[in-house]
Amino acid sequence: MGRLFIAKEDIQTLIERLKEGCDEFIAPKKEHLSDVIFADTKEAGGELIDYEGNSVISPRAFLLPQTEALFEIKSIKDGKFFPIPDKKKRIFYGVRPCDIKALILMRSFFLDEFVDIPYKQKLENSTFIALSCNRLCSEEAFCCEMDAGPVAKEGYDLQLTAIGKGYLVDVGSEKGSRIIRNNKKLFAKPEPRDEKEALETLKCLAKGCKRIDFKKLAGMMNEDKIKPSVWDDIGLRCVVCSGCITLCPTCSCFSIADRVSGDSGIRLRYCDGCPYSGFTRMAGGSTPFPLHKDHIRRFFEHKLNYDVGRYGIPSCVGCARCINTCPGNISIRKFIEEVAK
Amino acid sequence: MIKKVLTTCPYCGVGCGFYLDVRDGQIIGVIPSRANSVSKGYLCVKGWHAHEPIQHPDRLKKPLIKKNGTFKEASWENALDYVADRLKSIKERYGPDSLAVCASARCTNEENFLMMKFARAVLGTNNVDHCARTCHSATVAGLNQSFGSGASTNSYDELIHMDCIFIIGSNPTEAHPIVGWRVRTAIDNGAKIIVCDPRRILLAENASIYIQQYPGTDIALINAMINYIIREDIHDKDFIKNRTESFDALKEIVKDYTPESVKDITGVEPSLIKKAARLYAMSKRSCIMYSLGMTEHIVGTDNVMAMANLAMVTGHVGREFSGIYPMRGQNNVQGACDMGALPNVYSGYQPVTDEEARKKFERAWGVNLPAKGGLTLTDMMFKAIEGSLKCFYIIGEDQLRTDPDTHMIERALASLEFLVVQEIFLSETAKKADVVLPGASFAEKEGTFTCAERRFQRVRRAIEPLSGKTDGNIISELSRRLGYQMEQDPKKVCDEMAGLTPMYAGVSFERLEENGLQWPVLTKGHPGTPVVHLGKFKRGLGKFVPIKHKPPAEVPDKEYPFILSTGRILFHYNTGTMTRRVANLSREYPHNFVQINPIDAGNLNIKNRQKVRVKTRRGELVISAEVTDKIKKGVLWMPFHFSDEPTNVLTNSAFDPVCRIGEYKACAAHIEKI
Amino acid sequence: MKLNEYLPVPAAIKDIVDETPDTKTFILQIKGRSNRVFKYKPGQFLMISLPGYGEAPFTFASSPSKDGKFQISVRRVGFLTNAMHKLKEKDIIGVRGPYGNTFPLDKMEKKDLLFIAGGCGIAPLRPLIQHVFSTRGGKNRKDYGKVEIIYGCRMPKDRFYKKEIKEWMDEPDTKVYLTVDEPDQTWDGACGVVCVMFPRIKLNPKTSMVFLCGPSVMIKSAIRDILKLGFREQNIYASLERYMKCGIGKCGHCYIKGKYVCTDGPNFSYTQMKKLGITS
Repeated sequence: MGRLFIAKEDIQTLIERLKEGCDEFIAPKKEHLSDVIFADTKEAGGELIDYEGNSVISPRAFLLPQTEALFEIKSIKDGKFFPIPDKKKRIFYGVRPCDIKALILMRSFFLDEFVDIPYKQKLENSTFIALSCNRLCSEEAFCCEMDAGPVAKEGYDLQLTAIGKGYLVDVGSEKGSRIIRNNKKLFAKPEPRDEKEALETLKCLAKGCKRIDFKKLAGMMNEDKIKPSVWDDIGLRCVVCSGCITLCPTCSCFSIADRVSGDSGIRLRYCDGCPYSGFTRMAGGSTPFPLHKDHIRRFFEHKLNYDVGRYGIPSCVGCARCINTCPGNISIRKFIEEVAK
Repeated sequence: MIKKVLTTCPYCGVGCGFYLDVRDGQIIGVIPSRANSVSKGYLCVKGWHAHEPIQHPDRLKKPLIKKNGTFKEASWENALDYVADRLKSIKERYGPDSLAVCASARCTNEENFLMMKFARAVLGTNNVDHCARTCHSATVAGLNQSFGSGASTNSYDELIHMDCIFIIGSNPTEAHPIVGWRVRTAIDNGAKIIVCDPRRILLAENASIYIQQYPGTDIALINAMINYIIREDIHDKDFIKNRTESFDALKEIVKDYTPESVKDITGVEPSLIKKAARLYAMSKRSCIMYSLGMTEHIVGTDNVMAMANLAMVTGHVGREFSGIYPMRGQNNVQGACDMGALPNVYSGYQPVTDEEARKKFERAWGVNLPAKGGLTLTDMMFKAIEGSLKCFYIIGEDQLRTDPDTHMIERALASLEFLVVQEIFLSETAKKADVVLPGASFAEKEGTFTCAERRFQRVRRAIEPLSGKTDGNIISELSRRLGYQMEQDPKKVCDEMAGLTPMYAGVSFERLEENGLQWPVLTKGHPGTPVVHLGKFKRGLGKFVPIKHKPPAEVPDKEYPFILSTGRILFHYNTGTMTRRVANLSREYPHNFVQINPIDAGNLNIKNRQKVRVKTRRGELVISAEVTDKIKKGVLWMPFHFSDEPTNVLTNSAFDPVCRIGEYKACAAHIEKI
Repeated sequence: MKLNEYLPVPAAIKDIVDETPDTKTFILQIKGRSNRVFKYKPGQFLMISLPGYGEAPFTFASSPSKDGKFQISVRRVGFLTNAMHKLKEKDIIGVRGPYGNTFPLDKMEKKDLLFIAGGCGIAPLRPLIQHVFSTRGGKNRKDYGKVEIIYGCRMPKDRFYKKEIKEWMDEPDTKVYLTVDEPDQTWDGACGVVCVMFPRIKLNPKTSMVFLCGPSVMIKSAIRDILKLGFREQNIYASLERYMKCGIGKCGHCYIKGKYVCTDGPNFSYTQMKKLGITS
């Protein structure tokens, strides 16, 4: 299906129709003052059709929440465990291209070899409507450099690109075409000057951006060519807040904890990861990563080195959420810039 | 149902803002608020996990009444009736001053206002206090004498623009991480940092000057800095002349404290003291940041006034980008003080002995109020042992684990006729109670907290109280049973408080919606006060109070050759009732430990992670050793978060004579391998 | 939809053997109608759930038996293992697996085999040793060359599988060397770490295969010394222990340089270990 156009006044109609067909409509919403955060606006309304910046949390917060029940413990003494199905139909609206790219990576990870059913069931019941960027979402963002913005190349069901009078619409999947088919009257063919307008905005955004040479970066890390002082500095800065791993749209690590009372309860899984020394410490107390700087190095190496080996691309999408939440002012962007220099 | 509830972090005194992520009634996570002016999208590891303890299965949900030594669940109706009856009969039999209330720095301002009103108007006693006694009572007393107001002089956001930050007895990246972020940013912006601490804390690694003094020698250190500053003629003469008084008295006292003469006391090279003095004095924008490392001494109040002297002598106070930052330890310890949960003052520090103030409260509340000041928390314990205090009503505090000399506290609680504890988990203190009333966590109530920069911020309800009642509800229902009707709607309580307190007269829930307000807020139109003492100190002229060094109550000797100090670690909060129920926090530090210098450890043949016995005149503890060069030779250091291995069995219950704070930071100790 | 891999199945404790003062061996059997038998290979592991205490990986400590029983040996070191030591016969726990790779069984045929174990490190090697000595599965002892087993413990009382080790000594072409770090009156054998036994090795270093498991310091020093004797890197295999929460390459705890110890391991050749930067 070729590119389509939807007028500004029709997008709200589309959204209302989409809401009818889902259980949760996850869209950016203005919370306190300037905070923009994905929220379920199906009943509550208030979604931002177009917005600046990006949500504090990514769609990961719905597919792999900070804590979620992994299964139900019906009886401890009889060993009865039951799955908790999540059949909710979710439509994500206004997802930024960086987060779409993150979803592609997360899909490959969770659906590979051993399938992670709790993730898969939520992913498969979800529809993703991307909204390409027409300006950088934060001073620190570097999605263009990481080849993850300002427009998603794949991974979305629909992608909207704002132009003056409405949106250009790209269709990325069967789920996306179904939405178009069901709402035919709202869509039209775009005029050539619309496409030109969109292109101009993109050009403007991409100006001055230099794509990172991922392979070279990974190679340098692989050969341990980073100055030791870089890791030392990072080690002194990190105060183990865990904000980076909680907000990162491609962080997938977790731990489990049981919440039981009496003979029943649930097993939770919750966000966990590199910064903690306990993350790799074994029951007897020994650990393969005794130094704190190695914990953050592990985080950086996973994203920028090992995943390049595994997926051919880094699993950092340049969204800058980790940078904007780091109380140690650690910047993966500065790290990349310095190393790739 | 997905909802996000913007609220204020329940841990340290920084006051970060975040959303609780609530899905189908379960709080599943935390989302930082970038628009919050305190935290700007940053949180520490405790904040990121603030949701975890709220709906933990261990939460208390029903009142418990002890019968023949064991707790039995009771209905609210029965429990409240029973408590009211007992309070009434004790009051009738022994008089109102046989009762005492411990308010809570964990609860909201509105609840603290109700608690102090409950003590004064309903029980009829000024015996109301809270844990500020054991953390920053020295600040309130000290800064009040020097400046006329006992709170932080400036605001967080000025920190990132400082040229020099003098950090003493404070570990911002662990104890107040989002203020730590500002210090980190200041360093990145080119600021110079001076760190004075017996432990080489994280920020010492990036400090321009690191001074490792012995615990309890801070006055000698600061006086020596002042001595050097005056000697080198780099003091701010204009400031001293125009804004202060009694400079000559100070000059006289510090003349005996040269950097060289304090070397043996402090264990610090004179050249370091001189460098630090020069850097602090000569930098254009200098400030002092301290916390319990300074206050928890028998000279806590003196320590605070010594710092005030240093700030005034260099003119680094009373203007923007300067000042003294006392880092408050608990989410609302500032607020609990502000609300008058103290034995000598009503809200806004209006003395109970001031007849005009008392008359105002009497008129508003329609009762006669006691004119005599009440007991401090410290003295409540002594009076309980003596027998004149019969009943203690404790809200959200675990004295058996937080107060120094646990065994003494145990005796005090055992001496009571009636002990009520209002708690969210069954703490060690709660286990000793006759009645335990299940309180509500921060996520279950509406109200306000006041953070260390004097900022009132909103706390909002994300879920209904698990026990069915908030702490405010409980107080108000008890009050009704005792024959006094109290307004309990938090918004209206806030209005009542503002109406009675000139310093917070402009505070209301509506005005706090955006990003809170920093007191003083004198009228409904007043914008709040980021910097106090601008142009003029609250007391008029800043007062130099000459301070002499006094050694800690206990100094090392042959039998107990080490100085034991205590403090907080990043991953835990106070007695750990909440943080030790967070999986990742508990995993990082599951057990208590003692830090010891490698040289001392070598002499005693103690190896890292080996079990050792730490002994003081009060008690002993078997824990594992952490051998680290981050601690000064001759000093031991322990955290206080582990109620199963309670550090405070060791600490000293010697007290500051003015503010009655305990000396947690220095006592004599013995350590041996087992 | 596929089964939720995180969901354990109930298993009953059939028997508990006190192995050492701090270790118990649990004999387990899957419970329920299916009575599903774990089809596992030597070196693989399973996840054990104790609801309320969590979940942790344990290697199978025995070859699969015909009646579907299997064993795990549990040393008391933490929260979960402490709780497990309080379990009794007939209690139910949750299990899932098997996970991880096996040893290169094909490559082992006709080769001389050297097993080096320290402390509880004997448990993961035991199914492999049993496999070599077993006559089941169409193989028999003759399919393998000489066998030497070096097993070191802290104290004599810390040795696992005492009775069975005696039986191994009686197997043809087999030598078992035992050593302890801290001898007591009951001990008249060798003293010291496993490496002290290396001079006694009679096997041809160029062709023999080596299997190690034990504390990381032991693995490190044993590999260093065994290489000095001329054993070949590619013939040395170690079973690694890592903290893990899922067993299926998702939770990330055991991740190291792009590999997951749980799915790419836990058994690695020394050549692979070097690539991963694990020399311990």
